Amino acid sequence: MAAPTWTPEDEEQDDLDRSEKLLLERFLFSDPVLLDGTGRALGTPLRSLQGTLEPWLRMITGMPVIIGQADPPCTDLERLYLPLAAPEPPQKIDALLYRTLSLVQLGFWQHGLLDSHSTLKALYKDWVLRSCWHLLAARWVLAEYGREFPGIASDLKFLRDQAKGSELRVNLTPVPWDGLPRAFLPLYEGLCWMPEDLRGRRSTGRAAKAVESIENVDSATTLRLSLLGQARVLREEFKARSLGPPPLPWFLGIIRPEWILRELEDDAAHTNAWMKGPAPLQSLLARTGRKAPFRPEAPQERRGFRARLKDRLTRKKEDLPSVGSMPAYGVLRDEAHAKARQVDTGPPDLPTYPDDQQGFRYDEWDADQGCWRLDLVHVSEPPAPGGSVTGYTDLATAHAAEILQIKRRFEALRTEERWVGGLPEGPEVDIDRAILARTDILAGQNPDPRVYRQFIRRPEPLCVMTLVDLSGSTQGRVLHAQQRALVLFAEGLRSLSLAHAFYGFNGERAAQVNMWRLKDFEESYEEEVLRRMGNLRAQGATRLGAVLRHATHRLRLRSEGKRLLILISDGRPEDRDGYRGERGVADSAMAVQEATRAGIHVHCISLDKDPSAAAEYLKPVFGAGRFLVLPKVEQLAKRLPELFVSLV
Amino acid sequence: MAWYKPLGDEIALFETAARRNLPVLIKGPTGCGKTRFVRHMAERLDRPLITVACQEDLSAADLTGRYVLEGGDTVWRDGPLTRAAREGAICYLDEVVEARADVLTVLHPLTDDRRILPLERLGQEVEAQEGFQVVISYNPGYQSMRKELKESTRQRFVSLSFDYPTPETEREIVVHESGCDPKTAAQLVQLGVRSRKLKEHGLAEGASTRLLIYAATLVEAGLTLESACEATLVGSLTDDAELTAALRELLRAVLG
Repeated sequence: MAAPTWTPEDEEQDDLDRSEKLLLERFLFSDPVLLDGTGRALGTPLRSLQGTLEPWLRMITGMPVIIGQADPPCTDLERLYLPLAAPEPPQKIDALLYRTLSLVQLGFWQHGLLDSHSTLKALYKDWVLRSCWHLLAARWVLAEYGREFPGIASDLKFLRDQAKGSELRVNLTPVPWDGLPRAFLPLYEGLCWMPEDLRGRRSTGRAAKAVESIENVDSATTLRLSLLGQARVLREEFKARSLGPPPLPWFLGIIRPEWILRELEDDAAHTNAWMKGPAPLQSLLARTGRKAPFRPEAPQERRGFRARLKDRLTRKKEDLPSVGSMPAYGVLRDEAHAKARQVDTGPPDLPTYPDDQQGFRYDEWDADQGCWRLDLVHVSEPPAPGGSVTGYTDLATAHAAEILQIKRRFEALRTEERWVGGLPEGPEVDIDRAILARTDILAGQNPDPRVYRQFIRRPEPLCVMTLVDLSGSTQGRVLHAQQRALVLFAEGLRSLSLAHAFYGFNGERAAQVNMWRLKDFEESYEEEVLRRMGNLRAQGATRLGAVLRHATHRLRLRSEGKRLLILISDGRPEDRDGYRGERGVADSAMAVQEATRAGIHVHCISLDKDPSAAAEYLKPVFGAGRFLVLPKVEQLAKRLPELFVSLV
Repeated sequence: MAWYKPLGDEIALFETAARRNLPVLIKGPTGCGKTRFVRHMAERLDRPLITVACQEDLSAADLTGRYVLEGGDTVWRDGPLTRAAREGAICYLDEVVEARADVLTVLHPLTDDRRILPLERLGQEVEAQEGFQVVISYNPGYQSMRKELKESTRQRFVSLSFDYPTPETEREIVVHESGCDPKTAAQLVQLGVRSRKLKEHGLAEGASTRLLIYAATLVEAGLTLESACEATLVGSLTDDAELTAALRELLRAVLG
């Protein structure tokens, strides 16, 4: 059994816990601090608009939009990074600004403008070229959205009349409009706000021709072919006139896919590889124990950018194992056992256990070898170490209003309150059944004597177990969100009469999987339970299959007809001893199958940072419609009770 | 005949299943045309259609029949299932997962090669007439442990999976059903398609074809497109404040 790695609480520990929580809340979980160095408030915070912006962008672009935070705005083709706050002062137009700068970045992404490795490398090496390309590409992208959505077109027209958001910047440095070379002006006309005196002074030079040419492009494919050429023409023009890069309006953001930086670093490393000397020399030096003049590095396997991007974009769902393709646990299990007994039982460093070891042992499905590993995993079920009781009570107090709402929603589930007919005795006659009985008598048949009815409040024959991922990866925002959700959900469930339990899980290899008991079915909300539930700590890994099997074992012992298992996790099932990738997914899927066969309804809430990737491994494990991916961990406290209500 | 726009080979499949006396299970999202399809097929095959809207309190007797008092006598009154079996009709159980799973076991002897319906109270076995067919439908998008079809029931049916039509087809459907102009239909379909991008990311389901037809019908009745959309595509889809705001912004982007 794994020993707790933190000390039992005492007064001093209470204070430390409180201080730590305050610090965490201050620095990690509070709303973004919208003050610059002088204490001035900045513009509208992103967080206040994010909840609406994300679904809107998802609907408009059809892309899996996940918003991160960075200034200047950019995208790495996985997330969209936006600034924490719009430029001061806060205005209604800020929502429009966020939408526009999102569309610029997503437009580059959606229309494949960032897909060409060679183009991006060329852009990265030349600042002037990059700025020209960016201005031309953004113009086309925004116009394209405007063509498809009349509302966006009118929004962009409105934005062009507003100075806010159109401040010019070179990198992060603001640049005044005064003195801007005339040759640049066509690049901004019709794209962003311009000072009155600059409007209409449109040059007829190359920039105007480039803009006109881009405006006439009718498809993204044509744009991709012509954009770099037009930008190069402008670059030559500006270079010949020593003008430097045209500055960018703030809302256009920048092009900064991080992988381009990594690629360029790799290129540099390979370019300098000759300096390390030939491989035979290095091996000779290694054998003789002498130092090489240059530290040799292990050659790294490089896959081209195109290949990696193609992999990511074309990864098929079939690549992942489906539940249906796996061997059945039920009737074929004996066969699998027999097979498993014939193979080597795993890596040689697996620990052995004394016979009197407390805990539970479970088989594990090893997809790599296609066999069951018998009694491989040892699961212990210690009570979770407690901390200060205020960890729970403070959260409950701070969220009293939300808890009240949850309790109201749960009220409808409290008991099954209705008239139950067809009883052999009761306070009232069930008219329908009495008529039926009478008709049976008249028809010469034996009547059914169950002709009474009674208004009953019958407790739902339901029990629910909630499993919370306490692996090391949850440390920080996820753990904080889980802690809050757990307290709110528990407070809601307290008002119901149904049996419920909370467990946390983590582990280190097969030898030590922990199911931390936060609250068992039989326990009430006494102080000891509150101490456990209010002080979640994260460490270790996620060996999901064994956790699910143990939860199934616990739920099988319950007498309720309906048994629900809710799992909250933040990532793939992974542990250190090879339990990762397909093996982790397959074993977890098998464990879910076992639970389903035992009549247990398993539902997962995933807090994975990458919701699209999460759906790919959650579907084979839990099945379609049996999981919910939350793009924002802060939604957990709200969505967990909602999910519970919808499930029961 | 009830108008129906085919989305694939569902008509041929249904016709073949009907000829071979095979029961059919239709699954698909809310408002995608499952019920209309069954109506259309019943008329196409020239068979009576008996529809049962399933709900939690539906009992086996509600399906098979019971004795009732009529004057001073007791009279046996067939339930919809028995009536369909006797008449060679299509018995359509709509939203079948709403009924308790144990009630549906009454379908089992009718959905295999026996094609009989035992009536214990009458001491009879009703043999299903030629043309009798059980059709059930449900929405697999429901995420409720209480709304699941038993495996033993599910495996007795030929399955037809429905989804929302392509935008072109959906535009045609909206125009036909509501009589609205093609431009309005195109805008509504665009809104519907976009709202479905939020499925499993906030919304349980996006706007159904039926909801788009409602919106178009309201427009045809004289409401502005904005009001009609607000009442259908926004108000009927979610109560969440942020999603409501996002849907309103979508309306604004699409309608201008």
